Amino acid sequence: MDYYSDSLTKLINELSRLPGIGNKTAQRLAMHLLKVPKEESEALANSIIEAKNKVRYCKICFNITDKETCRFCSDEKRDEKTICVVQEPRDIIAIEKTRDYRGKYHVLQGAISPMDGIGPNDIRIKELLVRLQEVEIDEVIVATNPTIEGEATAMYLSKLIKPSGIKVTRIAHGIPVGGDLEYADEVTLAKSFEGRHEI
Amino acid sequence: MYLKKLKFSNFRNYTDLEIELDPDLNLILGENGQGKTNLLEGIYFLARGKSFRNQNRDLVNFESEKSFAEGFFFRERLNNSDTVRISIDKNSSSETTGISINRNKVKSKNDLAGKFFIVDFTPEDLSIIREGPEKRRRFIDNEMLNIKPVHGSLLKDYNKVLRQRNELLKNISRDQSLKKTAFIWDEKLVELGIRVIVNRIVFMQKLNRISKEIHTNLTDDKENLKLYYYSNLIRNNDDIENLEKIFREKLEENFKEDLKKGYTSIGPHLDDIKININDMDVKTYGSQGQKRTCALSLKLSQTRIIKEETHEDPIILLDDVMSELDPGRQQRIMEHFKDNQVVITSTEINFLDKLQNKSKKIYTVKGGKVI
Repeated sequence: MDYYSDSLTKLINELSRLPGIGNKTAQRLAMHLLKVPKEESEALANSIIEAKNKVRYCKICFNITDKETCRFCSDEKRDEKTICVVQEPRDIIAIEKTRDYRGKYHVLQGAISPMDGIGPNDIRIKELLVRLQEVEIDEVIVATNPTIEGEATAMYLSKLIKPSGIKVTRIAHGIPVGGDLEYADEVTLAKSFEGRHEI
Repeated sequence: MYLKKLKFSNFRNYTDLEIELDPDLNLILGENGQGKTNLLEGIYFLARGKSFRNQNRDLVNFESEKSFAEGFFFRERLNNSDTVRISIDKNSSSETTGISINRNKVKSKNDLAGKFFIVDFTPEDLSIIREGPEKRRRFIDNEMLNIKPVHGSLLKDYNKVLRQRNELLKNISRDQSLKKTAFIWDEKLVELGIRVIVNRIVFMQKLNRISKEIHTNLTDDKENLKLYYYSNLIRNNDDIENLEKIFREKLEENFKEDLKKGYTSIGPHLDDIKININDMDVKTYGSQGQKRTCALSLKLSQTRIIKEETHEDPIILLDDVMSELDPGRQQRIMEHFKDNQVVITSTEINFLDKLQNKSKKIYTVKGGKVI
C-alpha cells in the first residue's frame, strides 16, 4: 500500500534492500534524509556514486582498490613468492594489523557454499590458479574463515594446488590467546591437539 | 537445584505473574485451559531457552508484542544462585531476542545447557517410543546436552554440512562440473558424523545401564529393557574402530543413488534407537501400557544421569502424567524424586496423600492468574 508519494516509497524500498536494514529502519532513514539540508543528502548520494565509479577490484588479487592494482600488489618490497588467500577484502585489513605478514594476497570474494548457490566457479579460484602458473610461488597460505564453508574451500584449494608442487599451508586454529582451556569447545580443543607442535 | 522465584510478563495467558515456589513440591491445580501447562512450559523455557511444544514466538501473549520470563534458580549444593531472564519479541526474526544470566547477556540458548537442569514428564513422552526415529534421536541428543553441552555445536555443524551436501547433490544435476567439489563435503561429513555417532554410543551405554535398572524396578522384575543403537553404518559399537572406513565406503557406494534423490542416505542423521523389552521390539509389539512405562523409564533415567554426571538434582515437571498411572506406580515414581523440586499439574487433588513426606505448596490457576 502506498502511504507516501511515489518518490518517497521508492527511496524506502531502495534503502530496505541494504543488508541489516528492515522496512522500519528504511522509513526512518528516508525521513531523516528528507529533513537534513539538501547538501547533506547530495553529499551522501554523490559519495555512493563516486565510490561505485572509482572503486574496483585489483586485477591481480581482487582486493578493493581505486587503481589498476591494489597497494599490496604494487608494493615491491613485499615477498612475491608467498600468497595469502582470504575470503574478503576486510580479512586483509585484519591480517595487516598484525604487521607480521609481508607477502602478497589473493581475495576469493567468498567461500564455496552450495546452499547459497556458490560453487568454485563463482569465486576467484580460477584467477588464483592462473596467478600460480604465471608467477613463481613458494607457498600458498590459506586463511579462509574457520567456518564449515571456509574449511571446505581450503580443502578444495589444497587438492587443486598440491599436485603442482607448491607448498599449501592452512592457518592454525585452536585455543585463542588469553583463553581458558576449560571454556573451549570440543571441536576447537580437538583441532588444537591435532595442530600441536614441539617446544 | 530448584527454582525459587518466577516472574512472567505477557507469557502465554499470564499477563503478570510473580510467585515463589517450594523447594520440594508444588502442585498446580486448575480446570483445563486455565494455564497449568503454560506455567510448566515457562519453567522449562527458563532452563532451556526453548519451549517443549511450540516456537518461542508463540509464547508471547496473543494480545502483546513482547514478553519476558524471569527465574531465580538456587543450588543448595554450592549455595549459589542464578537469575535467568529471557525476553521474546514477536516481531524479531531470531527466536529469542535476549537471554541473560545474572544480567549478563549470553549468545544463545546453548549457553544455558549444562547449567540449569530440568526434566519434563508429559503425555507426549510416549511419542519417543511410538513415533519415528527422529523423536528418539532428538531424545538422546537433548539428554546429552545436559551433561555434554558441546554435543549441541557438533550437531549444528554436522547438520550444516549435511544441508550443504544435499544442496550440492541437487546442484550437480544442473551442472555436472560441480561433482569435483563433492569430496570436500564428504570429508567433513565423515569427520563430524563419526564424532556424533561415538558421542551417542558412549552415552547410550550409560543410558542402557541406568534404564535397565529403573525399568526392572518399575515392573517388579517382569521386564528387561534394552536399547540398541541402530545406524546405517554400524550396530552398537561393533566395528567402531573401522567406522571411518565404513562411512567413506558407504558414501561412495551410495553416491549415484544420492545424486538421484538429491539427499544423503548415509550418516547419523538417519540413525535410530531400538528399544526392546524381553528381547521384543516394544514399538511394534508392545502394549500401550508397556510403551508408557518404557517412556517413563527413559525419562527417569535422564533424571538419574544428570544427578550422576553433574551432582545436581534436576527440577522435575510432571504435566498430567500422574493421572494416567495407578496409585502404586504413582508412589513408586515419586520415590525417585525425593531429592528433587517437583512441579505437578493436575485437575484434582486426589493423589496428594501419597506425598505427605514432602513440604509443599498448592496453587490454583484460573484464567492466567494464581489464586
